[in-house]
Amino acid sequence: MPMKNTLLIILLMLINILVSQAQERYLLENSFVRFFSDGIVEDIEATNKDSKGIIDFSKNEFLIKIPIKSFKFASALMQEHFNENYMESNKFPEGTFKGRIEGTYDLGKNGTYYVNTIGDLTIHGVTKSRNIPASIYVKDGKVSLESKFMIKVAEHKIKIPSIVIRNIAEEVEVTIKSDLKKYDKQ
Amino acid sequence: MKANKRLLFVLLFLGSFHLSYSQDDLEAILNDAEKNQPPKKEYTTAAFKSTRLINLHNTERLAKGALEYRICHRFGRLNSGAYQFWGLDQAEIRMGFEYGVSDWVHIGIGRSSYQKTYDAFAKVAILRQSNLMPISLVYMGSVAINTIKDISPDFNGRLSYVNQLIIGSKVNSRVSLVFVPTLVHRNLVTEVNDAVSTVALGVGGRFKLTQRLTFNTEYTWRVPPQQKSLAFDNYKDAFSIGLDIETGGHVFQLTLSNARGMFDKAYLVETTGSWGAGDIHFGFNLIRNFTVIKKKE
Repeated sequence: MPMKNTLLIILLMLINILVSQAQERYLLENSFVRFFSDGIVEDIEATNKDSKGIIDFSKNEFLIKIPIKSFKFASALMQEHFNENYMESNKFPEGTFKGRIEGTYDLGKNGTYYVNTIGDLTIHGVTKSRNIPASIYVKDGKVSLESKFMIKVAEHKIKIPSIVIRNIAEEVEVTIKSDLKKYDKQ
Repeated sequence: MKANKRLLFVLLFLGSFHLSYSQDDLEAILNDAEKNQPPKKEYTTAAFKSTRLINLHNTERLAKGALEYRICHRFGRLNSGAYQFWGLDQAEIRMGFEYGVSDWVHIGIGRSSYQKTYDAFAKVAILRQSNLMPISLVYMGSVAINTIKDISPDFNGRLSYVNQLIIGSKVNSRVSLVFVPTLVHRNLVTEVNDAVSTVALGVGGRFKLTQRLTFNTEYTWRVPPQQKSLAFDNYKDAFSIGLDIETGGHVFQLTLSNARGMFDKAYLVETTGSWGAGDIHFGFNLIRNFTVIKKKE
C-alpha cells in the first residue's frame, strides 16, 4: 500500500511539473518587419508593424504571423501592385513561420543568445522548410528577438513578369524585430 | 487494491488530458490571445486599375502624392471604311495631369481637341470601402470651358458643369461595380429644345481577367425629358467596352465606344454615334503614374 501511494504522489508531481512548464509563453509586442529588395534599377522597401506571434520557450516552439496587407511602401502604387500582382494578398493574407528553437539560452540571465529556428515558412501559399538563425536578447527580465534572412521570390511561386525583372531582386532580405511580452493566461 | 488501481487509472487519464490541453496548438492560443483586439480598419484597395472605367469616373482615386499623366485618343468611326483606315486617320485627343492631394481628394485638369475644351475636376471620397464598410461613396464635380473662336461672346455660355455621386463596391477580387447618378448642366445649348440640365445614370464595372488585365464596361443612360425633344433624341447614350492592361507604372486602356468625347459633358450628353449603325470609335487611354511625394511611415 505505501508503495502505491508513493507512486501516485510521484505521478501527480510529474503531471504538475509538465503542466506548470507550459507557462513560459510569450507574445510578440511592438513587432517590426521590413523587407528590402536590392534591385538593379531601384531599391524597394516596405515595413510592417502588425505582425503577431507566440513563443513557447518551455517547449521551444513558436509561431509568427505577418499580415501581408500591412506592409507599407513609400509609393502607394507599388504597395497596390505588391498586394494585387505579386503576393495576391486576398488569396494569401498572411505569411507564417512556425517551428522550433534549437540552441541554448537563459531567459533569467542578461545576454545575447544566438539560436537556430527550424520550421515551415509559408509565403504566398507556398511552404518551405527553413533553418533561420535568430538572436534572443535578455536585458533585466525583458526579452526581445531579432532575425534577418533571405527569401528567394521564385521559391514561393511569386511571379515577376519579364518587363519588370530588372526592378525586382530575385532574393529579398527580411528583417524581423520584436519585443516579447509574457502571456500568462492558462 | 482494486480501488487504488482504478484511482491510478483515472489520474493517468486526467493527467494525459491535462497534458494534451497544455500542448494545445500555438495557433489556437495566439488567436485566443489576439481575439480581444478590435478589428483593424483596412481600406479596400485596387477596386479598379485606373480612376476611370473608360470615360466614366469610378471610385478609385490617386493616392496622396501620386501624379498622373493621362493621354487619351479616340479615332474616327470604324464604319468609315478603308479610305479613312477605319477611323484611324482622324484622332481626337485629350491630355491631362492629375494629382492625389490626399488619400481622400484627387484633382485633375485636361485639354481636349473636341470643342477646344479645358476641363478641371475634383473627386472627393465620402466613404471608403473597408472591412467594416461595404461600399465607397465618392463625389465628383467637374467644370469645362470650350474656347472655340467666334461662337459666343458670352463667357458663361461656354461653361458646363457635371456633378456625380459615385457609389461603388469591389464585390470580390475580380468584380467591381459602380452606379453613378449624374447631373449635367450646360449654360448654353445651341440646339432648339435641348435641355440645359440633364439627369443621367451611369452603371459600369470591371471583371479581372488576369492579374494585369481587366475587362471594363460602362453605360450612361440619360433620363429623357418630359417634353419630347428632337435634340435629345439625336444624341445617344454612351456605351463603351474596354480592356485595362497594367504594366507596373503604366496602364493602357483600350476601348470601343460610340462616344468620342473624353471629358464628362462631351460623352454624357453629346454622344452622336450609334452602336447599331456601326458608329464605333476605337481609342485608348495611356496612363503613367509617378510618385511625387513619398509616404513616410
